[in-house]
Amino acid sequence: MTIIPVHMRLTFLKYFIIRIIVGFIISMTFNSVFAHEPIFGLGPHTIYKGGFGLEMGFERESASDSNEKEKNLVLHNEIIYGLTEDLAITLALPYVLDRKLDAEGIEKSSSGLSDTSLRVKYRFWRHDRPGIQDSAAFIIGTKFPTGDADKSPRLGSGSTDFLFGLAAGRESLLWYYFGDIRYRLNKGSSDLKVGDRFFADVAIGIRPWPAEYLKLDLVVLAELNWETLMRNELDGLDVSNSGGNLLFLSPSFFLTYRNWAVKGGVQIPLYQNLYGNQPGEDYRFKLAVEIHF
Amino acid sequence: MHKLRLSVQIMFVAIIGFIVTPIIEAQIRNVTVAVDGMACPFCAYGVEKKLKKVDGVGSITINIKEGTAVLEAKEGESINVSQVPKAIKDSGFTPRTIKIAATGYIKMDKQQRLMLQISKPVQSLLLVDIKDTAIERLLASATSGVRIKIVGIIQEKSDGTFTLSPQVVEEVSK
Repeated sequence: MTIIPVHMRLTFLKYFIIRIIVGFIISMTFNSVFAHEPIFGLGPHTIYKGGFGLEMGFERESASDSNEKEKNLVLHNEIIYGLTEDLAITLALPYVLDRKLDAEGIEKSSSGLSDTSLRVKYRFWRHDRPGIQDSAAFIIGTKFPTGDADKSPRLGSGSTDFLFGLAAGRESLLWYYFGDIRYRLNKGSSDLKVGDRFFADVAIGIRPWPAEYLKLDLVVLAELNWETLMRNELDGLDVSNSGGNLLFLSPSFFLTYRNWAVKGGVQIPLYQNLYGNQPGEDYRFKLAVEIHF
Repeated sequence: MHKLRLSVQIMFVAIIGFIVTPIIEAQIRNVTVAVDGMACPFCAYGVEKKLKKVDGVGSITINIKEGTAVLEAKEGESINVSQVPKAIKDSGFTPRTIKIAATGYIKMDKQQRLMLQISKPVQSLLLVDIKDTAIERLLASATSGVRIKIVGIIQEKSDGTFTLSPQVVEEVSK
């Protein structure tokens, strides 16, 4: 039985809605994945000047405890354009295929367009040597409330949110190294403000077989992804069953051929400290195809 | 009458030769670019895309391990080497060295400098750092119309012009 703090005077229905939103927001990592980058973190890569990229993939998330189960299946679509060789703009159009929340025996599901986002990545530093590229970039993004916030479970946060990030990495013939920090500033809607998010990621990758052009190329990575979730606010009061810290170990890969890429990975929770009563993360999974023109 | 006709024919050939010769001066048939930062095939696709738009390029061969892109010219055309550095930069990488193989004739400009001149597309490459072993062949081409093959390194100057440092100079038959 979930215990709701008396002093918050929340109805059970309102609490139910909050759990749906939080579950949804957790899955919205705001992450733009360029092919040779961490799957769950952020990398410094852009796309060549005048280049177009299309990405389509599936994201699956599962969280559960003895009282609740949440499952999300999202079709993630992105369009990437290289304004210059160091400046890329990305439009993300996620579509929720199925969102299910089963709490206290009540099951609800919904599907539809989720919140879209627009991100700009600027690679401000690059050092090229034979077979090695070191680079760093910062990212600014905005998420627009295009998801239907009236559906149950909601498909959107109902608010315009912002992302700021800094990423750096090394790409070489054999090894890959990445690191990034991100902060998502959630503005909140009329009554609910989902807590801000802080992310920190590191990744190491290796190319097991030497790369040759016009041949299949495989890179395997291991990522560590940290998330700090600030508490949500409802009507100006902190929601006790919200917020926390998570650490994931995420094996991932990208397999490419010329201008095609298949990439994916799974996030396995190593550590979870979620405040109050919240379902813990079971896993998160991503699989996507990217093509450049 | 026969001598007059022969004279007219020789003059006609000379005039045609004078008109035609400047058009077929030299052609850059092969360019090898060393590309710094190119470490993955997926990223190298941008190099292929940009180099394909360089005038005169027929085929491109990319070698990830060696970090090079080799361009071959279309039949009867010359590669516009002045477009190559920008193509590499626009793809997100850094051009390190550009080596060309050109055949044709050397010209001497008003300052008595040796130039490799291509008319289609228009390019002028000033020859610099000429080795003693190559100077005779280059002068022979400039003064006597000897057709040569040059393999050398291209450098882009700060004013946007290009120089060619010959490494190998060989006479070739017409």
